[in-house]
Amino acid sequence: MYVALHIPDFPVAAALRVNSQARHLPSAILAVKSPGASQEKLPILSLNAAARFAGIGVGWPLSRALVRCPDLNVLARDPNAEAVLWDELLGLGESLAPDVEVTAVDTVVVDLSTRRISVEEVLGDLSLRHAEIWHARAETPDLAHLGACYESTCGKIISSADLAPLPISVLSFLASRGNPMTLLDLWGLKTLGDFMKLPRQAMVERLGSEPGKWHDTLHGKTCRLLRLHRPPDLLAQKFDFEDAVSSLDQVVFALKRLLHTLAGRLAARHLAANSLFFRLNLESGESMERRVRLPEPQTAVEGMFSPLQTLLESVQLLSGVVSLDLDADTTFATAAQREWFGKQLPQPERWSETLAKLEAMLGPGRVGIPIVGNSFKPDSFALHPAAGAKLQIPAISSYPECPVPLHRYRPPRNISVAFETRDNQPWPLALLNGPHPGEIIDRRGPFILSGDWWDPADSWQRLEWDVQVTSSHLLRLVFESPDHWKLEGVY
Amino acid sequence: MREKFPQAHGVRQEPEILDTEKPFEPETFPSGGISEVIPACATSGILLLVAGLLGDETEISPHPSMVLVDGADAFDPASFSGMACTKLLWVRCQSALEMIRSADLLIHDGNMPFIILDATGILRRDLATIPASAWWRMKQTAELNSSRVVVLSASPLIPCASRRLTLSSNLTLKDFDLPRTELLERLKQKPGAHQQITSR
Repeated sequence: MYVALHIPDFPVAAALRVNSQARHLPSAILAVKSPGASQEKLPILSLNAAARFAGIGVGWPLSRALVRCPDLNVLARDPNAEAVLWDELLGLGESLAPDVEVTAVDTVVVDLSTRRISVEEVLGDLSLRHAEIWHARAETPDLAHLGACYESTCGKIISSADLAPLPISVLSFLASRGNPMTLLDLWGLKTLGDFMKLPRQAMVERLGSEPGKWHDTLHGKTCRLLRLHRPPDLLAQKFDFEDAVSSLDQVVFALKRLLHTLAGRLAARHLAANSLFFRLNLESGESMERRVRLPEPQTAVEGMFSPLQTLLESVQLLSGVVSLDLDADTTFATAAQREWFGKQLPQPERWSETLAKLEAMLGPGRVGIPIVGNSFKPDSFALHPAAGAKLQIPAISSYPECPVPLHRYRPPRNISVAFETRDNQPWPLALLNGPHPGEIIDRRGPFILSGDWWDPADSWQRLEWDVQVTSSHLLRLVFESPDHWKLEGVY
Repeated sequence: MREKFPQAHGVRQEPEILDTEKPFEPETFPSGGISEVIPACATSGILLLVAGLLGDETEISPHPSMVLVDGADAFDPASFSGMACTKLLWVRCQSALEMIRSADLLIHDGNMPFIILDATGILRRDLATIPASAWWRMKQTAELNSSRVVVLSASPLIPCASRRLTLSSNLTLKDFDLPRTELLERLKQKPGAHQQITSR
């Protein structure tokens, strides 16, 4: 058994919910105004019972409706109010049974086969605030839908015979293309009963297969499957602590509860978590948020909890935690076997946990794959996370200018240098202090480097030498105007 | 019983294969042990070892295949090609203690079979604070995971090094005009350039 819930005159009912003064007046909503069309010629899209009582019909031009009812109140469509009303209608449907189909903007059909308790009493109590609701039950979803859309059939258990008095225009609910009424009008068919009396085989031979399907539907011979409505994949969860907690043990306990719920939801949707996002909302008003990329899509609580626990252990709470937010990005669980010819980590889950521990110990930005910066600026590089997103580096990769790698001082050591001026440039002679003082016995350079000259705040200019001192150390020496000497590294 | 009495079951230790033609391949260093590389003089260019291990890659590596635990945060990515850097996971430490702890985590993890510890920029007195037991423990973990651990240090540091190499390339500024491949070739060919001492 199926039950259909229908809100008659849905657009005007939604608009009147927020316009209480016009609720008892004849009111109408016009169809969308096309460019160049005058408002007087626009047809009426929807009207309330008072307007219908005044003799106005749907599809009338506004000018004609105003002649019949000068007090007609023309309302604007309210999409927000319609969305709220639709949500309430869906909620009513889900309160009856979990399998709900959104058949039309104003109608939902509910499958009652999973319901053990009789729905009779519940249907009588169904109500929406300031909106009428019609319902009808039938053995097939289409019969229930058709029955709920008409006042004369609503509230009943619909059979084929009950639909017979309905006008033939009802078929427009079933038609997927074209307007079937034109030919049927020419044949003199006025009601569904007239249509249902036609011999099916002869009608199919003349009109095609689709009217044959309508015929079957009206006779209750076909029972299609519902296109079930499923809520969107929202996995965000929130846990509010009754009192602010300062111990991470309680946070971990709450986090585990959320992860169990998350794992259940993921399993129900045949998905896996790709990355996790959690936020600790502190009593001081601040929040602490982290995003954890998982090395492989995870569905198990243990696989998701381990990197989060490692990160939490590194957190120092400055004030109590009042709530905890958890969300996840999803992907499909990996069901394929691993690559035969590509490199794979033996234990990717463990790798992610190790990286998290390293980051917790050393601080952010201390572990990763080095990417050489696209600039000649000294010590220009970026660190790419070792787990997670695929590595992207510029197509034109950089190559070192010096064959011997530099052992860089971070930050560069400021030193004093004895120098003379040659060709308006300093010429180093000896390092007076620093880690490797001594006379310079050999040198390469100066190498003149500059950059960002178009930006006065970031422009830089320097002279570099590779020098060898008496202790035979090979060093990189840098001069920056006006008088700064730096030791940048040792080879 | 096989583990407890391997001799009774005829289990033989695999002979140590040493290919001196390839001084900068990971296979140079014994699996499941700690190797130590020390410079013979101030101009040894010890980081040429890292350059040789990274090689001259032409494609992006999907995963890092080796780890550099940089004790003094002194690694210079600009000294290596962009593609070669994709083979490397760089762990930037600020002290000897951080270096040891990071290495311990990575060796326990077991995902990275080749781990380099660069202790050359760390002061000798800081290195002296590392107890010998830390190195022994690291060696035991490396044995369990069959990891190759290479420590670059300015002076002999590891009491339990399976192999100790002395790098004495004796570079001058004139060598800076040569391509890197030639310097690496020269290290292979010069008999004194790449000495090795095995100590157990």
